[in-house]
Amino acid sequence: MKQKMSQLTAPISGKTVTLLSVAGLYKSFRMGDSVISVLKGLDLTVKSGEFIAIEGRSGTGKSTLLHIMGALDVADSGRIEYADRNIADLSGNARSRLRNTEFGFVFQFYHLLPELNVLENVLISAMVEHSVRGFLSRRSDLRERAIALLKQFGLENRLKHRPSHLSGGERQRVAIARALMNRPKVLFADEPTGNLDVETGRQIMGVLEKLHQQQSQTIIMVTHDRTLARQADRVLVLKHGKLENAEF
Amino acid sequence: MYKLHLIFKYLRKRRIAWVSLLAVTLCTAMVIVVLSVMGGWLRMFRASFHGLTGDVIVESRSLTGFPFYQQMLGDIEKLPEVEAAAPVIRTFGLINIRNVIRDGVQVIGFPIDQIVKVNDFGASLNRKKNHPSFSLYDDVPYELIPPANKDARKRPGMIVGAGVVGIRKDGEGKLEVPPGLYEAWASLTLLGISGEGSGLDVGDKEVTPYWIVDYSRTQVWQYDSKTVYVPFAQVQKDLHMDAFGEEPARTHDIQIKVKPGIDPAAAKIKIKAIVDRIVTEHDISFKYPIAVETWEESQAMWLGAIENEKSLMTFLFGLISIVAIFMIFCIFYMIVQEKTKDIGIVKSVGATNAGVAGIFLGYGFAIGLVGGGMGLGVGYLIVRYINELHTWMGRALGIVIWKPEVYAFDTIPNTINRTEVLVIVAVAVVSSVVGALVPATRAARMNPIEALRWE
Repeated sequence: MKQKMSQLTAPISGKTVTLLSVAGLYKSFRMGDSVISVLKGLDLTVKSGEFIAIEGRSGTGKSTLLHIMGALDVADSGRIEYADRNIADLSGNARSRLRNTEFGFVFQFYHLLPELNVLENVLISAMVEHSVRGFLSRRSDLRERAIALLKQFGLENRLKHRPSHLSGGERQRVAIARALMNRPKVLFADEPTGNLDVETGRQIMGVLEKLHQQQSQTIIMVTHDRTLARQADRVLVLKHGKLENAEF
Repeated sequence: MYKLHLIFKYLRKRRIAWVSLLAVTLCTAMVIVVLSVMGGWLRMFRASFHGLTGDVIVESRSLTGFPFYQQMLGDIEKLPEVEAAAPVIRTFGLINIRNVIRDGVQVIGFPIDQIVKVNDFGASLNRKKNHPSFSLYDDVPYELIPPANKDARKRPGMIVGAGVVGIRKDGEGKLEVPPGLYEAWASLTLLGISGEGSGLDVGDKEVTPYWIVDYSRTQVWQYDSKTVYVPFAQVQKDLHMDAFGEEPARTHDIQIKVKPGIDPAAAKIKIKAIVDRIVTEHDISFKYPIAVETWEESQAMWLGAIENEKSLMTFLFGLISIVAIFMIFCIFYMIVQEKTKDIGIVKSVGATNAGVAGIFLGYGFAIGLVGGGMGLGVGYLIVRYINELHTWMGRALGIVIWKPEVYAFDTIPNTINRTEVLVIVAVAVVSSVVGALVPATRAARMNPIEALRWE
């Protein structure tokens, strides 16, 4: 076990800067009268530029871990250190700021705002970051960046379309573009292909891989698909509330 | 920025928002219409009744009237606070106009050149608006009008209330003046009022022939439908209230106008002192009870009733506002419920709790502002054209809501008070924000993960 732990925190060649570290993370849920513990003293270190896949069976707490690391949820106890700060100690507003400027999220069900078109959905992160004046003064730059991202993902002809007019793969690419809009340090992907057919899923994985390889984007992805997980630098398995290195 | 953007999008794309917008619009328009009409009614009531009397009234408590009014008038007019004063006699009589209209009427007698300095009677006239008088017209051949009489031109002139001779608005809202009105004779039968004993002398009636020289339209139904105006000296003589032997001449009222900027209540004290002095001087307090009142005190019963109505109205509008707030609360609760996933999404990209609350409060504010603005427009149009609308409803649908005999005026008030309207729109905005407050707080407190998982 100790050996496994050392492997979990071991430096990866050429990527030695620790970006995010998790230590002694506990999280449980109350279901009626019973308490279900999903994370039981979990540890993890994420290096800058790493692509980590976390796999595990349904209900093992993969998404919960991702949400806690991404400051969307809170743990019962434990430390999540990012940029020399314990996320668990941050105020609600500071956590929101972190989600807006440092982290990006891609969800299984895309989660796009139905009233906004593709371009607006991508720009929403920038809108959250800036005040009205700030946004308007940088409007053309921000718009240019959003369009560039959408172009990168082959959606340049879909700018004015509403999410309901897009295919699943297109929606997920819009979601990735939105997550990347504010240049996040860490991209959290929660079952990004879980709602897509095999071919489209492969395309989305291709997009993530490309981001990782060409732009050294740090990605933490949760999946239950071992084949997809293998495309990451490191594959970890969440089992009994703790992470282990995957054995292939 | 995202708050403004989402508010604008929700306002445009969410049809349920249009329901709340419609609700706010209708509530605002309704309150503006009702408050303008009822408030306008109260203002018209005050203005009209004040316009028909002086600021201060020396009033007899009996039909007998009171004597020494000339002495009182002389002393009152010398007061620096007083602009003008006029004696007025009020009684009842039977009128016969050309043997066509026979009716019981209120008869008001005053020196017209004096009364127009005291109140707004002159403005209610038609042909003699600019030169109010009871004088006959040079171009009317009174001597030749049957029953022809060579002394016809010696008869006094009479001004009739518009309703007495059947002047009413037609279907288009225009006044219909009967032909030959200015060549019509009228005889007025009055009963003498003795200065002694019971007052009315039923065995001593006076029938005086008059010529109708104009009609008065004060817009106060009670006056316009049942009142005729005649020269003071004539009615005083017919009622036997003129000086006779030892008996001094009498009047019923003295109406007094105070100078601009003078408080009638303050002037009343000085006027009362004069009246009391003269009453004491002639020792007539027991025989001729006299009251000195401001016009508001004189009309206290009417004004009090309307003030009560206004209080009731305010209470009802309070209830309406609560209903509106509750309605907006329900709609916003539904919107928040429906947009739960959106709340999770915007929180996942970094929106704060306050920011999420701001979206829904801003949404409520926008609905209040747009709905209030639209309600103001609709309300303004309805109030502006309410008389035309009412006339059309009466003609096309047979619905008559505004009855002059009930509301005292033959036209529905159609003026909008700016301050009232601003308050109403402000209340609409505040109500919308208050209605959105609880749902917005609920949205702000939502856990982003639970919101994202919400189905």
